[in-house]
Amino acid sequence: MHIINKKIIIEKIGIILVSLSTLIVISSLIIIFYDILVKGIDKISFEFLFTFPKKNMTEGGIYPAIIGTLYVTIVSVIFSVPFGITAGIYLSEYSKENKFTTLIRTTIKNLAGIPSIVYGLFGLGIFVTGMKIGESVLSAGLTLGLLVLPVIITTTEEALKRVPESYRDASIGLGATKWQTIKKVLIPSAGPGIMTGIILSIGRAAGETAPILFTGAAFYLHTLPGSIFDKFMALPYHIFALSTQHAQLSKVRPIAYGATLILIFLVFMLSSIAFFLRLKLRKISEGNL
Amino acid sequence: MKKIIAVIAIAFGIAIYAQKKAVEIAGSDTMLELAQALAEDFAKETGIEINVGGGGSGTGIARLINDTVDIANSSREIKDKEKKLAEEKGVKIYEVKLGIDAIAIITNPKNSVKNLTVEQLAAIYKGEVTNWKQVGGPNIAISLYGRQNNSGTYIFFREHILNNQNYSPKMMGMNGSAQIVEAIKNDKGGIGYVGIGYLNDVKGQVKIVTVNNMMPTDEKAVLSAKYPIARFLFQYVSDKRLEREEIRRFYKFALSKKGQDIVKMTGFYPLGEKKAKELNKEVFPLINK
Amino acid sequence: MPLFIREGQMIKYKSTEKILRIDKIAKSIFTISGIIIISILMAIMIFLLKESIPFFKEHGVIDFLFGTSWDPTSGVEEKYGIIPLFISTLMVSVGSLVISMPIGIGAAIFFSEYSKGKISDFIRYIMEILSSIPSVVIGFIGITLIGPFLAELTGTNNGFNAINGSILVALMTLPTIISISTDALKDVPKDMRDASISLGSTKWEAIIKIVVPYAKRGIFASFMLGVGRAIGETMTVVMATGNAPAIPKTFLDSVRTMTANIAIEMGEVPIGSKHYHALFAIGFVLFIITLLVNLLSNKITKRKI
Repeated sequence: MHIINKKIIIEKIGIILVSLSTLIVISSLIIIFYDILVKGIDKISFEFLFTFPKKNMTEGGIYPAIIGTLYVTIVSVIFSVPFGITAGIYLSEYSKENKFTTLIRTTIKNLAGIPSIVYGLFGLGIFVTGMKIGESVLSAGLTLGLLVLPVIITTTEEALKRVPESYRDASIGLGATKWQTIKKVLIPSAGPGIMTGIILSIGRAAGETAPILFTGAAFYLHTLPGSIFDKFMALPYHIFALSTQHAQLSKVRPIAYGATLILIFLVFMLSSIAFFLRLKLRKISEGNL
Repeated sequence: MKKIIAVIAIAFGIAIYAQKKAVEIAGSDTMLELAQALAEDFAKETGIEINVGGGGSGTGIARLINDTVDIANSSREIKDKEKKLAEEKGVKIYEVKLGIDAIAIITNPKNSVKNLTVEQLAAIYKGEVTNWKQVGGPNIAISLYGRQNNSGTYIFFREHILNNQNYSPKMMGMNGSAQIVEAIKNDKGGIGYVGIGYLNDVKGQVKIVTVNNMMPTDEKAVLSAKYPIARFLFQYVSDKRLEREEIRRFYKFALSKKGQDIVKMTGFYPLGEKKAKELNKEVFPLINK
Repeated sequence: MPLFIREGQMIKYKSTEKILRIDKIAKSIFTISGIIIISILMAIMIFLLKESIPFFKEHGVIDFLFGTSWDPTSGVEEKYGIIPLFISTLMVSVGSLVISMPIGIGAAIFFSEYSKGKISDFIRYIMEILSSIPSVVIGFIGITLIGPFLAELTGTNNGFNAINGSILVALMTLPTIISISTDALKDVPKDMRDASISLGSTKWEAIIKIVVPYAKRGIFASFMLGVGRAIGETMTVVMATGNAPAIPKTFLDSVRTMTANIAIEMGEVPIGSKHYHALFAIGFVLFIITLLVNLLSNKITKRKI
């Protein structure tokens, strides 16, 4: 067969395969989202968003769970993002390539594989009991922060490593110090990749149930957490309890769906900031190649 | 500025204070709704807040022993092992009987089997019988649904129906009785055990099988032990916690007519005020201090 | 100082000493935080080990690793063998990766090479938001949507099985794999593609032979994060795979992964009991498995690069 024809056929097959993959991914997500939307949208109302649950969770709203999730996600982001980015910078720019650094990288990648429930155990043993913080927004937030730390470190390091060596050389060659290079050249260039890590982490932190089970999440509280040292209600745990444990299943099912919608929306809001930052950064770095 | 700080500080203080004063109940999922309903009415009457969580009877008792909860809901009697552990930790545990629960055996409406003897039930759950035709039903494989080993219902069923023999390893462990109901609605070969409180909502979607020709919804049969799978609903509380006035008041309420009416409303069999006093001889004087 | 200097813009002057001082401070901050992180991460590892050792001392390692029955609360004889749990984890992880890796790369290539502009960014945005669907909800969808569908398809009684678990876990790991791989592909300098095409290759050839290999490292990193997530996923499998402790024989059997087991039993165990330490021992085994997988992947990367 003429070699050009073969190439064209391969090209066409290739395009079909990748388009198919994307289609599968997008349609699965759309089906899921549609199911949640259709079954949850009726529940959304002012009352649902801003009042406490009533009549044994079958009526009223999910306000405390929303606030609880917000609190705990913010705590985890405050802890994990600065730490994670600086650690990623350290690994990529400051550490020397030796057995020690390899050990560190292996540790980080392993920690990405530890089940969320084990983080919960660690949180329970170290924060709740060991440091005597008790079951609280702080304990759970730190635990979630630890959970997402490996993701942020890895994506930061990877993004930085992808910046061509020539950028660093050029910057140093122009007389900049290492920190100036990092701040003005590398971080903006690696920005989009770092943002991806943050976006993924926000979603993860807001949606995880296992790490907060024993570190502060409660099924029903009468008041909002007064400080970060209090227990809290959380959307993921609420959804889990409502969908597996509540006796009046058909009454609370719509609430579970509604809560899910809200959770997705919450993450949407939190990630949007990171998303737009990423877009901006990518434009800058691409425009200035 | 200073005024604002003062106001915020006071608000925080009140919020923390409010959370601290609340009573914490955790444990049996079977009793979740009951405890919630009691908590709501109790709060309306006395203004004392109660936070209720699930986790399974075993979880509740473990927390009681670890002194991280005021009251443990339990749908099974406390194990000797647990009593010993409590003693070792210097915790004296009191048992309160709140009501009676009958455990229903449910199957899918498409399954023609109407009655099972206790022996048949045991054979099915031990894995000796694996097809419905072996007990006079259609030729469908049996899907065994049960709870997890943190569940009082799991332990109770094993002790009383299986005579402490092992469950079949093929039995699936669901995360709450509600999940069992949900699963059996869609599984034509399914069989499961759930407290009758879970059947208020599911007319026609699952079928209740008579055991030894008795229905769990037959109050006389249950109270006279003719229906073989019935159990007390317990709450366990430690001597230390009973010293809190809020908890003593809660028990006065739960064992009064009002409380017992709530027991009935949530789908269980109340003890009735007289019997409640009788069965709880040990704790009554302590409650009425 | 401004990020990029525009023509005619006035620049603030910093003395050389100040610049060097800032540089030194920056270096210390980064090094310290690097060390802190490493210490925290090491602490988790040590904590796991510390809490598992009492179990190994009391029960012995061989029976734990090779025992075929897990029943720690049995009224007859307590059993602590993890083979059923291990096989369950293996089936669900491998099953999910078989689904998510090819589809993940395919979609990443699509987003990076074949779709441009605002619409593409928007689709990717939507996908990333939808990917924030929590594990609990995915588990829930597994019970209500995918499970019954699978049951219909395969003629089984219900969908509480390994295939369901694999599909659900794949759904959870796809966003990670796609996002990070897309970034890696997008970061490949434009010149690479241009050079390849100008030398006569088709776009597809350029992608497969030049772009993807160049982005290898990032793509592989995304796989590793995906593997980690797959092995460690907890809530989804707890809800949708049935949790039967028998050794699964086919993908249509119910499975009970190591993670699910920990989540289910942890709430109940009195702190300090044998069962409590046994659960940590499972956690430790999970950790070792991830370690081995990563060591293996390091070896592979070294050979490639």
